[in-house]
Amino acid sequence: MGPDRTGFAEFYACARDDCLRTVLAITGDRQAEEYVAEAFARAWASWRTVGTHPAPRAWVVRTALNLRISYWRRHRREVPDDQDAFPVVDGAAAGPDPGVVDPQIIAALAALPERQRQVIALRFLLDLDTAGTAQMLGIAPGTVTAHLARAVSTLRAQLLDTEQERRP
Amino acid sequence: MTDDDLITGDLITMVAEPFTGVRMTTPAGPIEARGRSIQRHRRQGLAAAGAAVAAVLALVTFAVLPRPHLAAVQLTAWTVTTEPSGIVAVTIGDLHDPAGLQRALQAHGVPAIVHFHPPGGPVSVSSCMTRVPSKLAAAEKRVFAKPPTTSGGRALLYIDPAAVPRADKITIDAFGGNGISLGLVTHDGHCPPGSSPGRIGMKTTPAGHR
Repeated sequence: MGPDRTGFAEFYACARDDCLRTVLAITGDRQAEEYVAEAFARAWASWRTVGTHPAPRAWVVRTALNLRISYWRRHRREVPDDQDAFPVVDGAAAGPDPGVVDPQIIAALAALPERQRQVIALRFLLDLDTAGTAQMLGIAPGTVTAHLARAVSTLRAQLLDTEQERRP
Repeated sequence: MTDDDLITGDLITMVAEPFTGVRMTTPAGPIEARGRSIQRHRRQGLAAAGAAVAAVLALVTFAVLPRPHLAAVQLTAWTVTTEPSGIVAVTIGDLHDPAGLQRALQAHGVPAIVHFHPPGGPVSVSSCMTRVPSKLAAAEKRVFAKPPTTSGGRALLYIDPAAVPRADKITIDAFGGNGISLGLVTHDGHCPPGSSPGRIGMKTTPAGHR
């Protein structure tokens, strides 16, 4: 008799979009959905553990990011296809569907240092609190706050300026 | 200022809302199918690991435990040959099967009492022993036609069957790593002059042992 997977379907339905958005914001990778789908499959296979995890969505995101790292380690000697070029965070070329996400936000996130981008994605898109973000990234809560402050400052400057430029 | 103070409504609008159009299109079915595949691979991996562990344990057990049934493939423990001169040459390389050596000597015309004493084992010696070949009793000097020697970790003894008095027997006591004691015991149980009953400890011809 296999482990009880009650709740996985509900978890998947509720969490899948947030997890994909978070991974996409952090990586800007067109293959983000593949990594997230594989991470959810592993969550299904380990549901006894993941189902009782304090932050199962963070587990999925962490797993997806690790899968992506593993993938690129395995294929780093290969010449990347233009369609899957990494990082794709160069504006309009980003995201599973470039037409879905505003290229300005993708560009703004891409301009952030990686750690700041991770903090922004986990706080804004995955709705993790400071402690959860710190735990997932393996850094101190105070460091999360510092990264968040710098990232917010940068984003405000970039996005608000752009917004004002757009206005007639 | 806390983190929550930093996350203001306008920033949420600017950062999060552009992603609302991003949706996971993969249905739950393929996710669960892939999950089953992962689980199956894990179980196969565990089974393979278990088999590997069992194989290693079996190998270790095979290597560590005594294997008496393999004695037949070991190097010959001893050999007995009769030279053209009639001298019986005996080599002892391993302290195995003293009764077999005793029978082989008998077949070559040498009545003998053979005892092997592996290291750490109980020591029981023949009734008569001579500590060093140079002090062999006169009768023993005739029986052991040449001085014992060693070669390649094997002891070499030379026995003249014709010199063994009728009804007497030679005694060979080989001690693992500590040599071989030679002697002669008469048919009535006495030791020839010069021999010392039950003495051990000579180190003239080391006998190999495994």
